[in-house]
Amino acid sequence: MKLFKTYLKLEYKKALQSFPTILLGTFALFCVTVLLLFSWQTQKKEHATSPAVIGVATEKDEPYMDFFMGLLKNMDNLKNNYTFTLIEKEQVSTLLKKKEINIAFLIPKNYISSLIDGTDEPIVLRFSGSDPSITTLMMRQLSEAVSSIMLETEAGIYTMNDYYAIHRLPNQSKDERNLNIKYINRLLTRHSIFSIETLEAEQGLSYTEYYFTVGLLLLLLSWGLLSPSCFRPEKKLLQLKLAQSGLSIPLQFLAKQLACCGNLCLLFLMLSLILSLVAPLLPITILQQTTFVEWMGAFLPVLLAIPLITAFFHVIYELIPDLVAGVLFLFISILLMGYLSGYFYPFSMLPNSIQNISHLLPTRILFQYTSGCLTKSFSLVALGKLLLTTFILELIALCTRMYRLEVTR
Amino acid sequence: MNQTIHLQVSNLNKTYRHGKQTVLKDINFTAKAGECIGILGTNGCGKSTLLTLLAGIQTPNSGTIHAFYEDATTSQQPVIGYVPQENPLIEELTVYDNLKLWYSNSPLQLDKELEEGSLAMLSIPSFLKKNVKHLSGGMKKRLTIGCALACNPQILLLDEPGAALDLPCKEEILSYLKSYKSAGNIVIIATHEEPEIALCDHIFLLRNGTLTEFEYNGDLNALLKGMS
Repeated sequence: MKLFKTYLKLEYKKALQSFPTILLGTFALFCVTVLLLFSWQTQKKEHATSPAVIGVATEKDEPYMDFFMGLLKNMDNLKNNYTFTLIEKEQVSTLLKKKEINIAFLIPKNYISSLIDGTDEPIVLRFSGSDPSITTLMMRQLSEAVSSIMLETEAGIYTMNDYYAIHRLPNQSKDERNLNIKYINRLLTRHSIFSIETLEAEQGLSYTEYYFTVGLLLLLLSWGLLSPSCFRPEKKLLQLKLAQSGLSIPLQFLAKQLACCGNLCLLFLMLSLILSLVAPLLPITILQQTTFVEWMGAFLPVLLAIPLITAFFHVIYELIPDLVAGVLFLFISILLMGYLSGYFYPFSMLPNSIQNISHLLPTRILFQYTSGCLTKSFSLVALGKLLLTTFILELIALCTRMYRLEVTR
Repeated sequence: MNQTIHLQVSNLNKTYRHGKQTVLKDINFTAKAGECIGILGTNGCGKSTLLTLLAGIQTPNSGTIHAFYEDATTSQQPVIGYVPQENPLIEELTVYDNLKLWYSNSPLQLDKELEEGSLAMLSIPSFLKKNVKHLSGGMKKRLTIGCALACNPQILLLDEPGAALDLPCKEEILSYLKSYKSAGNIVIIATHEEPEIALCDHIFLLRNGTLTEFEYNGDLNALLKGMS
């Protein structure tokens, strides 16, 4: 018992040595996150006040361009984010280089007429290439809009052609042109071309709650990367000598688990206290909205998730005791399991078969429990799953250690 | 130590990979109090395995290791201390912390040993507060010996204690072993070093898993011939 007490104290002392590294790493991660959130927030505001400028480049005497411009300017979904301006084709490159326009639409000659005749060439979208987010968004929105217009127009033309052929009616060409002009007019008076549907991040979770939970869990999981020496098993010979001196392998394992877990719990309590005090004061909207995260009510129950996190690290480092390989394996495990647990996008987007498997992953169980704690919808089922998973992981880690030592003997 | 200790190893066998690889075959030898036994052999011949078996860290497939007091009045057995080639220390902690772990049952003895005992003889107090990972190879080896002495062993097993150490450090360890031996204890040493060989009363050569005694008279060429 004396040996156990001494070993536990020494293990805790060893674990405490990782304290400054973890604190420094956490502080660095926190600063980077705050900076990213701040720049994202500022960028969003800038975009809101100054929409992207899109140049519509045509030939000088291109007909129906007033209709086309009117169509673009009246698209409700686009007009808050984009300004359309009519330019000449020769100006495109210069204006893009000077960044006076963000994107140029190059309209082929006699486009509207060719659209009606069905001999149309595609509109060319030319990007400056400096803003991938605008590029992606624009591509999606505009290609959908243009495809929709094209499909509806073509369908109308074919129907009309068929009708005139069957009934052998005269003035087909003239009527076709008139019909299309009427169709474009109807488009111009439309209030909305697109309807946007947004998937919920997680059942019953707002995006703020979702991102906050994921951020917190990724931070906690990163602690295993910051302090590998704390979780790695001791040298085999030392373990065997200690076992020979009366401190059995399970007891050594227990001491290590208690020390590491105690250390992480202390760190978490300290950091969560700082976070719950500092976060609302920072000029970041998402952090100011986290007033739901109170230290006593929300963070304190999350403390019960720490043993599972510690057990997860133990399993990884027992399986791969080498320092570099262990850190790398843990990093890949966090990424992969986080990916399968919906840390980086809504979980509901995963195929059902994978979702079923994901429910067994420690990262998913952690997410369910932690999100429940942070949103004060604490669930005993989630707690039960958490404790059971902790026990299973600890058992795997212990068995791995025993097996390795048995092979040596 | 008033009682005479004795170590008797009989028919010791050790195999790996479920019997596919035989490391030790019918090992027999005895050691008496105040004796130093040298185990010599080429790299990978099984010297370390033999010492781990004697230390009780590994278990033999068959055979017995019997350490006893010749004139025993109680059933108490002599204690075996083991100094492996690889230092089994907690690198992140200080020298004192490592010693505390092994002296946890007798913390007062630790202070005593540091003041005037074996730990003082090994010059450990001079680097007591240092972190183990910042120690030199020689310091680590001395600390490992210090840790092995925590249980007051009457039999000390050393696995190449002088490997990669500088001359003053080797000399320091050697002089300690001389005094340890002269106190009536047994030293079993696996070595390749000439001064350590000179310390031994009996030399055994381990070759192809078998142990044979070698009459060493200071002729290194004969020893080399015997090993090959």
